[in-house]
Amino acid sequence: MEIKRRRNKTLVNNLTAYGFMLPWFIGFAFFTVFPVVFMFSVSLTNRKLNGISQYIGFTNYKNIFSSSTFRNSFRVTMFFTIIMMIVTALWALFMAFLLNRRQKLNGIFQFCYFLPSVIPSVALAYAFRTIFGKDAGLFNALLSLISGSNVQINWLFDKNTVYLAVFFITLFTYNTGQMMLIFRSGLNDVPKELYEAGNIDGASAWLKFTKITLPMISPIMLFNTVMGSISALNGSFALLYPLTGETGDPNKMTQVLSLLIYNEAFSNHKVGYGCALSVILFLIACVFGIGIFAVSKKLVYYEN
Amino acid sequence: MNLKKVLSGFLMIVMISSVLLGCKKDGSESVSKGDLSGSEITISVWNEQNADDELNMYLQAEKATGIKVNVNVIPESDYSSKLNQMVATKDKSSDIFVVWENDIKNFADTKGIVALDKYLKESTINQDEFIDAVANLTEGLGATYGLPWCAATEILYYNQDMFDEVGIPYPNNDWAYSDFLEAAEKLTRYNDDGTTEVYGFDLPNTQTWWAGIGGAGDQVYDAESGQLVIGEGAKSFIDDCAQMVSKGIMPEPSSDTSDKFASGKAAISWLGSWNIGTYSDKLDFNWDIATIPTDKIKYNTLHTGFYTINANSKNQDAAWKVIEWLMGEKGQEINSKSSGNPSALKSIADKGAWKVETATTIDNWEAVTDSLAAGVFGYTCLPSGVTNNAISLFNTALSGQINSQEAVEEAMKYAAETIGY
Repeated sequence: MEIKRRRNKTLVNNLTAYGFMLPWFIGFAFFTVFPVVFMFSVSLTNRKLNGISQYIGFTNYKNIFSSSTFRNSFRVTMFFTIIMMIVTALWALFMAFLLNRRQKLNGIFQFCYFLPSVIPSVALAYAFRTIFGKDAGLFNALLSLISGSNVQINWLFDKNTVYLAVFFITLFTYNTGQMMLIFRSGLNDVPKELYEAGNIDGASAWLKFTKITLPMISPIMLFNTVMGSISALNGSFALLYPLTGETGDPNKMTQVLSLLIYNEAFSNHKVGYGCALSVILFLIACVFGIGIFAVSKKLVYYEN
Repeated sequence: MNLKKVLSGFLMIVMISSVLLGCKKDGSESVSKGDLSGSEITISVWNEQNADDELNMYLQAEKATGIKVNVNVIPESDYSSKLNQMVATKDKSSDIFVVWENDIKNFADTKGIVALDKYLKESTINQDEFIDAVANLTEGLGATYGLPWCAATEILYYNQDMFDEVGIPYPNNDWAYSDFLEAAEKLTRYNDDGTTEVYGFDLPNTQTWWAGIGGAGDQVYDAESGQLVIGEGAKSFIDDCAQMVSKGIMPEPSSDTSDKFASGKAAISWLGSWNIGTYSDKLDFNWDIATIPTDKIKYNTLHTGFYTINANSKNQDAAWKVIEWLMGEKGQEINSKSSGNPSALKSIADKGAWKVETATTIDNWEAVTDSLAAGVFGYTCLPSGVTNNAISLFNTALSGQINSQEAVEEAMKYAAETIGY
C-alpha cells in the first residue's frame, strides 16, 4: 500500500514536472522541429513561390552539387565563416583586455565600444556602404585629407579590398560586442593569485597570457567560437545583403549561402531549391558545432 | 487578494473578447453585389502615393466611386516575392494587386487572379486602345487578367549646360550610337591628377543595361521559351562600357548610391521616363531628354504593372469598380500627372497629361512617345534573380575581373539553370 502511494506520488510529481515543461516543448515542436522537418520535405519538391509544387525526390540536391554557383558559394561561406570567427573573436578578446584594465571611466569606454553593436546590422551595413563609397565615400575623403592626394579606392567592388572592408565592418556587429562582454566577464573570473604566482616566477606578459589567461578562459573561448561561427553562417545575410547585394559583388566573392538561398527562393521563386540549400546550410552549421566541440576536448580546460 | 481576483477576471474577459473578435466574420464579406458604395477594398502597390491629394489617384478613386480604398505599399525590392507569397497562401488582405510583367502569366496559371472578361464586356474600356506591346504580352493567357496601369519607358537625359560649355549640338531622337560615344568622350572633364571630375556618361543602371544590349542587336528575352537571349550585342556593349570606364568617361561600378547626373557629375544618363517627375524643377541646371541612341536597332524596355483582382478577394465587384475608374480618363490623367508616365491607352496618352508641367526645360517630349513606340517587354519578363545576376557579371567585366565573353556565358548559363525550374 505504502509502495503504491509512493509510486503514485512519484507519478504525480513527474507529470507535474512534464506539465511545467509542456509550454517549452510545444514551442520547440512548433517553432523548431516543425520548420526543420517542413524545410526538408519542401526541399524534395519543385515548389515555387506562388505555391505550385510537385515531388521531385533528390533532384534539387543533385542540381545543387552540379551547380558552379553553389560550389562558389560554399567556398565563400567556409572562408567567410572561418575568417569572421577568428577576426571577431580576436578583436573581442583584445577589447575585453583593454576594458579589463583598472582605469577611470571604464564604464564609459565599455559603453562606447559596445554602442555600435546595438545598431541593427542592416542599418550598420548601409552606413558602412556609404562610408566605403568610391567617389563620395567618407573613408576615401578622410584618406585624401591625410595623404593630400585624391584617393579613390573602390573598397566594396575591388577584389583586393572587398574582404578587408567586410571583415572590418564585422568588428562593429552585435556578435562582436556580445563576445566582448562575455570575454570580459571571463577575464574577471581568472584568479589573481595565478598572475601573482607568475610574477614571482618572473613570467613575461606573453607567457602569463598563454599559460594562465588562455587556459582559464578557454571554456568561454569555446562558447564564443561556436556562437560566432553559427552567427557568421546564419547572420551574415543581414550584413552582406545591404553591402554587396544578393549577387555577392564583386564577381560573387561575397555570395555566402544565406544570400544564395534568398536569391533562389525570393528572386528566382525557386522555394524547393532554396529549402534544399537551407538544409545544406543547416548541416554545415551542425558540422561546425560538432567539429569545434570535438577539437575543444583537447584544448579547453575545465577547472573541475 | 481581491485586487488580484478583479485583475485576473478583467484579463480573462479581455482575452475571451479578443478571441471572439478574432473569430468574427470579416465585415467585408457582408457587402452585397448591388451595394458597392460604402464597401472597402485594399490595393497592393510598390510606390507611395502623391502627397498632393489632387494627384493621389486612389484618394480620387475613393471619392468618385464611394468605395473606401486602402493602399498597401510593399517595398519595391520585395514586391514580386510578397505578391507571390500572398497568392500561394490564398491571402485575402488585398483585393487588387498591381502585378508586374513577369508575374501575370504565373498568377493567371495558378488561378491567383481572376479573368476580367465578364467585367470588360459591360465596361467602356476599349482594349483595342492599348499600345500593341501590352496586347502582345497578355496574348496566350486565354483571357484578360490585367489592365496596364501606365506605360513607362527608358530615355536619355542630358545636361544642356555641359553641352553648351563644350559646344556640341544637343542629342535628338535620331542620334546614332557613334554620336553618343563621341559626345560622351568630349563631355568628360578630368582633374589635374588624371581622375575624372565630370563623367561624360553615367553607368547604366539595372534597367538601361538592357537598352544598350538590345540596341546592340540582342533579342534579350524570347517570349516563346521565356529565356534570356544575349550574345554578340551584350559583348559589344560591355566592351564599349569597359573602354569608357578605362578612359574615365564612365564611372566604374561601386557602392556609391548618389545620382551622378542629378548632382552634376555626369553629362548624360540613361534612365526610366519616371525620373522626369522626380527631377522636374529640382535640378540646378538646364536639362532635356532624347531617345536612347540607336546602335543596330532602336531599343528600350517598356515598363508597366497590371491592375488585377485577387481570386480570393471577397470584394471583387468593388475592386473592379475601382479599377474601372483608375483605367478611365480621369484616373489615367491623374496617374500621368503624378508619375509622368503616359497612359497605355493611346487616345488618353495622346492628350499629353504625362508631360510634367514643372519640368520646364524639356522641349523634346517626343522622346517619350518615340521611345514608347520602339519599346518592347524585355528583361522585365525574366525572374529578377536572373537579371540581377547578369548585371552583376556585366559590372564585374567592367572592373576587369572577367571579360565580356565570360560575363555573357555565365549569365546565360545561370539563366538556363534557373528559368523553367
